[in-house]
Amino acid sequence: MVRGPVADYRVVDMGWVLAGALPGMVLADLGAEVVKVETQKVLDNMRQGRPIVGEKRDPEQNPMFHNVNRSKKSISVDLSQPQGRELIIELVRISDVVIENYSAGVLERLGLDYERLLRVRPDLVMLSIAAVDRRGPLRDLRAYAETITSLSGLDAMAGYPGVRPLGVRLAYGDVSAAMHAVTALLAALHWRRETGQGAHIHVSMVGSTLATLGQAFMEHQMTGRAIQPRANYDPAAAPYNNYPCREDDTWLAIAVRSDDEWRGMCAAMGNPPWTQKPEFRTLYGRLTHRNELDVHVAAWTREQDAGDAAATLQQHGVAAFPVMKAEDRFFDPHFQERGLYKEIEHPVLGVEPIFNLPWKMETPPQIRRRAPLLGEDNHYVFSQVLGLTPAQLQRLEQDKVLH
Amino acid sequence: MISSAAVGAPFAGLRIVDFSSMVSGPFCTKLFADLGAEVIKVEQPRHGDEARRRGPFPNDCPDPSRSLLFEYLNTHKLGITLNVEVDEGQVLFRELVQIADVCVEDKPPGYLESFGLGYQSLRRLIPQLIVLSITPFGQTGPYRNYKAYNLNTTHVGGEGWLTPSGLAQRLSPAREPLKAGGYIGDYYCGVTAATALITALLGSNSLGEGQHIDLSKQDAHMTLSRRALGLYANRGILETRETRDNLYGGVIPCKDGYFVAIILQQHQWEALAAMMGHPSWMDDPRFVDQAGRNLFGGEINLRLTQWAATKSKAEIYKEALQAGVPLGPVLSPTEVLESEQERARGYFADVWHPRLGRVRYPTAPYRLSATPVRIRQVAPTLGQHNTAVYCDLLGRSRKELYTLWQAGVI
Repeated sequence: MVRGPVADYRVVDMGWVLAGALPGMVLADLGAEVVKVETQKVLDNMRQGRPIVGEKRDPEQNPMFHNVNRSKKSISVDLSQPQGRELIIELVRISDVVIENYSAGVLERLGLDYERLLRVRPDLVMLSIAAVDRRGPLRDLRAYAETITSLSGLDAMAGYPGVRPLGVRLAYGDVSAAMHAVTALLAALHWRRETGQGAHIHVSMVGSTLATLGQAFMEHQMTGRAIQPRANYDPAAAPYNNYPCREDDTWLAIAVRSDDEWRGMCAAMGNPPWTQKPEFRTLYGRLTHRNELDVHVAAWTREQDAGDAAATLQQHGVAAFPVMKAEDRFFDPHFQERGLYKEIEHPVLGVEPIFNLPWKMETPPQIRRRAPLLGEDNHYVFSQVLGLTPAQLQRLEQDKVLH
Repeated sequence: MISSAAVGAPFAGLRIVDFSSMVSGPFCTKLFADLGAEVIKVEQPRHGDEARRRGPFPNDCPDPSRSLLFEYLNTHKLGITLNVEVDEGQVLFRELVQIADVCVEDKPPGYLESFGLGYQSLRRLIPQLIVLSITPFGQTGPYRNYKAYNLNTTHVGGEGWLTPSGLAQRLSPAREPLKAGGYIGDYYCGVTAATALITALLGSNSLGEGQHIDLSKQDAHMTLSRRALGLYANRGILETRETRDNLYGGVIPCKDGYFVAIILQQHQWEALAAMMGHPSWMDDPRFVDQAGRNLFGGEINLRLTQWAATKSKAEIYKEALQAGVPLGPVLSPTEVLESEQERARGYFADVWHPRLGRVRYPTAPYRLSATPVRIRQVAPTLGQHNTAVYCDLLGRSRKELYTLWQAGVI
């Protein structure tokens, strides 16, 4: 296993569910020692849910939890007890990063807020993720993935033109916030290497979504136009859509802009008579006759297998690819060769696919270990790292501080 | 809180040559430029970055110096023109990367190497250089030479096939899968690329030499939809647009627009009932649990629509917040811009732009310090910094600059 680029760092990870857990996961794959903090009393919500094996609820049976908490260590500490909070403070003293996405005010009540932790670790880098910023009128918002996309404008943009907005059902706010958070966190660590200074980083899920819709906000200001759903439309290219293929609910995304691409598409289709129509000869003609084009292209794709048609079109220099469902992605030879996932043995659920991070390099992120069982690393963290005696440890277990 | 203004610029002193266009690469380098890096954006002479031609444009008047997509994505960058397909252009490109720490590029695999400018050639020249390559399908694998536009990449990721889903899908059955608005998939690839690039910066300290980052947009898109892939791989459940769970709720019309209702847990359903004043239809035994509610979701949505018909989204949201029900207003980008919350955060920066006039930019969603993020420098015009880069940095004379320009090299 390659020593990761952040192998020297220790992270106290109080980030939960998806947005909170992902930054710690990235750091753990990059080699940091990431210690996830939970307790039997208050579990990460992602551990909850329908069991796969047996009927009883079991915190060790959520495959998504295993995916986004792999490579981490787990301790079970009851933060409602003063001793539990002291243990966390001792751990922060010898750590570099704290990650959290608690509701507003929780850390202050526990006495684990940034100002307090700064006293034991003056160069601490702390990451706080919230649905919206912890200032302003929405700070107490109860947010789910779908309310993030509605509050940031993304839902209003998804739909067919002329039909009401349909919204997306996508945890985009979580994932986008997590990647923005990791970028800021690593930038702060880079800064700390140069200067020795820490930082407190606030990331908002709504803000992370807004940052990736920049031109839409400027468009409204500069045209006075309200932004409407535009489906798959691109004003500069046609054909540009998903076209139905032979098998039920299979689709092919075809995008054509240049004359070369247009000629390539016509050739891949065997130059049927409609492709010779004068109105399709120029990009101007194609842009102004896009609906008519869509009908012709769809008539051709309906007779085709999506995968075969994509390969033929690509051979002719056309950007075409099937709209993929989970099954397609899982078995696709390209994604297997790219190492989309790795099969990892878990003691409760057996072999599971754990999804890799999406880049390759000499010091790449690597899945270092399966997701930990709850409290699995109590002994390591509290005896070996913090140096507690066996008697002290036993006492903490008896008092259910470690639970 | 650390309030030193310099904390906002952790990448001061880092120089990046950015040979990328449209959204993913430019968003990645924008994140670095906003954090203090010097980014030299390389564009094709005359034509420039495709984003200049894509718009949207102020008052819908096409003008490559006023494309809002380009203006948003290229703040705080220097802009130069360069044609790498001619010999003199290749010489200049090598000189540029020799004084840089990082090169970001998004050309098809093998394109730069065909001019002796690929990673393998450059590393012989500059062992400590980091090259980040962003391509549709990555540098390896059977599809590495495939072409893809935003439409294609989005729909490989898996979310396209699932959008719109549930009851929203039933409103327009049998229609094509949809991509989410704007270029969010490509932006997401950009922020992922930025993460990878910083890890290379941190890692190179220990390696003592540079490295090549191979970022596949497809691979990045996949990580947006881990859940659907996990459901299939672990539980054998293949979600479709029709069957994607949680069939009631979603985007629902109200008096002045739409709101979104996401009721996942029993206590939320009960809170919803309380908020609506316990209407008798909610006692229907078919709605006793989530499975039943999903099965008859259409009826529930009809009732919710009737209930909401006389209420504004602001009223609904306020009531829901008090009652502990996860309902949210569906805001258009316009409303977001005007929303009190974002004003409170100082999230949008007011900029006086020489070509656009007064305009508000969204800024970074994170703060590394208490200092608000400001836009200090707007995006460059085509070749705006040719003199500064070729003469002041690379030491070419004005006379030579003129000749290079006349010859179409820059």
